[in-house]
Amino acid sequence: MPQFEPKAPYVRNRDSAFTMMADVIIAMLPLYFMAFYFYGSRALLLGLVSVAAAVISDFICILLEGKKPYFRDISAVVTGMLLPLMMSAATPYYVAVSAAVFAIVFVKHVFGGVGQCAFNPAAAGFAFAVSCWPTQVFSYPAPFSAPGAFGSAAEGLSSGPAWNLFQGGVPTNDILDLLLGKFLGPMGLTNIVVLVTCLFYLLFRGAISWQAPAAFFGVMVLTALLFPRIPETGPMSLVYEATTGMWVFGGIFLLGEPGTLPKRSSSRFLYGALAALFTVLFQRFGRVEQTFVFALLLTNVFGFTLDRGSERLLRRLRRVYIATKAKRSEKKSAQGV
Amino acid sequence: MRPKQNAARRNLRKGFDLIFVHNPVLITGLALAPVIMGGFTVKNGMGLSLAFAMVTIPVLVLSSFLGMLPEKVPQYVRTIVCAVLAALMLIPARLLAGGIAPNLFDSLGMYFSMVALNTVWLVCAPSCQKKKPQWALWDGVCHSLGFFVCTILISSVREFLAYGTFWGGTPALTVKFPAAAYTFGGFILVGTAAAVLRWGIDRSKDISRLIRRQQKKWRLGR
Repeated sequence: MPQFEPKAPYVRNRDSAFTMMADVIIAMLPLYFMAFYFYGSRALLLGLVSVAAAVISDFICILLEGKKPYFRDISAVVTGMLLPLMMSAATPYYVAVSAAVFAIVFVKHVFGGVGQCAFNPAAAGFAFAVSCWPTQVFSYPAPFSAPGAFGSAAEGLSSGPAWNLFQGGVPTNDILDLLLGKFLGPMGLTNIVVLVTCLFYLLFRGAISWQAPAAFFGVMVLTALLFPRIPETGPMSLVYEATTGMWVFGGIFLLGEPGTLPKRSSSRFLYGALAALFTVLFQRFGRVEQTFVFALLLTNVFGFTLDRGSERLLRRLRRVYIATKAKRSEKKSAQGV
Repeated sequence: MRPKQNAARRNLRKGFDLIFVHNPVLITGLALAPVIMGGFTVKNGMGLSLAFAMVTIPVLVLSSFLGMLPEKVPQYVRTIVCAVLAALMLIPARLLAGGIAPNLFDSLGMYFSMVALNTVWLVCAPSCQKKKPQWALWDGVCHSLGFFVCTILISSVREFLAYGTFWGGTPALTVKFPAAAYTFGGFILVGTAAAVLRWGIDRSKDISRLIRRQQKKWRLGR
């Protein structure tokens, strides 16, 4: 009887939820490093406070549900780390805490816990923060201004180039500064080079599937090139949109959330394209400068419908194919006779 | 005599249950829209409760009298008569609402008028046609009390979280949650209150069951 010989790299459960979430956390670490580089220790403290709030509220909810805490479920850590990256480095701590608690209690646990969320918890938490405190979330300190780690950091804040785009104007920032992330913006969204690296890392590790981001980025790039919302050429419009908007970050870290993503590959393409369409519409007609989360929350509603629709379509196509094949074989056998 | 006394006790008990155990908003989910959309300050909550009581109590009593009509009169005619009375009762309700706050009717807008066709009397009026007028009145009063308790509780929490005030007074909170005044905040708060109330009811049932079991053991032990 042949002996089973395990092969390198001897990894079991490569695609378990824990490894996938760990990969996402590892991918966010460079963003936190860049946030620390630009804004000092307040950026790290915001992340810590948000993670602590998310983990504690997750733990309390699990106990209230009568379940046993499962310490390999680090989804609360992922949610806690995602939220401050979408906010200003000068955001008050209570905003980050409130958003994290809202995301975990009212978006994750109310709908059944990890893997059963109807909406992306981080996106819903950020949307809650924007609804309650838009000024605190969208007022940014200048890079290297080192806002105070403790207490209020409400001085010397202003809006960024995303606001210019939202108003229909052209940002006045240098292109090199935009590409290097040296401009006013959310602390994790400005570094386009680091974000692209994170995308490749997550795709290589298999932590996110490629279908939804491919469709999403394809539609967003085409829209920015062909229908710019500012008086600039297509390529320049794409540079401004990609460097200042939340959609690059969202397409990498939020769009592929396993609980809300459709299960079939064909549905994922449609899901990504739909998210891009809603993002474009919210950009044109929305009321705030960063609208990706609202578009994603709306797209989450269609995840199940897309799966069901593509399942029915594929079954019908398969039936047609089988019927056609049967007819052909009947013809052949009749001719053979 | 005994069956009548039992029926009276049962009706009284059902009425008291309407305030908490069968609260029309939190347990049966009726009349949610005015509470969620209009009840974001205590003044609004009082105005809505007043309008609700002035509409629901007369309509339920009227439906009890309409139940005495011959069966030839179709149900939809009775419902239309009740709806007309409900709309007419909004006029004195509006006048009284002005006594709570001068611009209360304007701030509530369409939600004040929506109370005229609230789901409580729409659902309860057919059953009140089989009841005597005094018990229909008792039902109306208890429904109104249940609505009042729920609305004041929810609206005071919403006003405190969103504006840091109570009855428009001095703000007491430095950190406010404006989302509590929005519709989605209202939904979340009403849902949370409903969950807490159901949990409390279940726990109280467990406790009373335990007490009865213990009392039985003691009686048997003697």
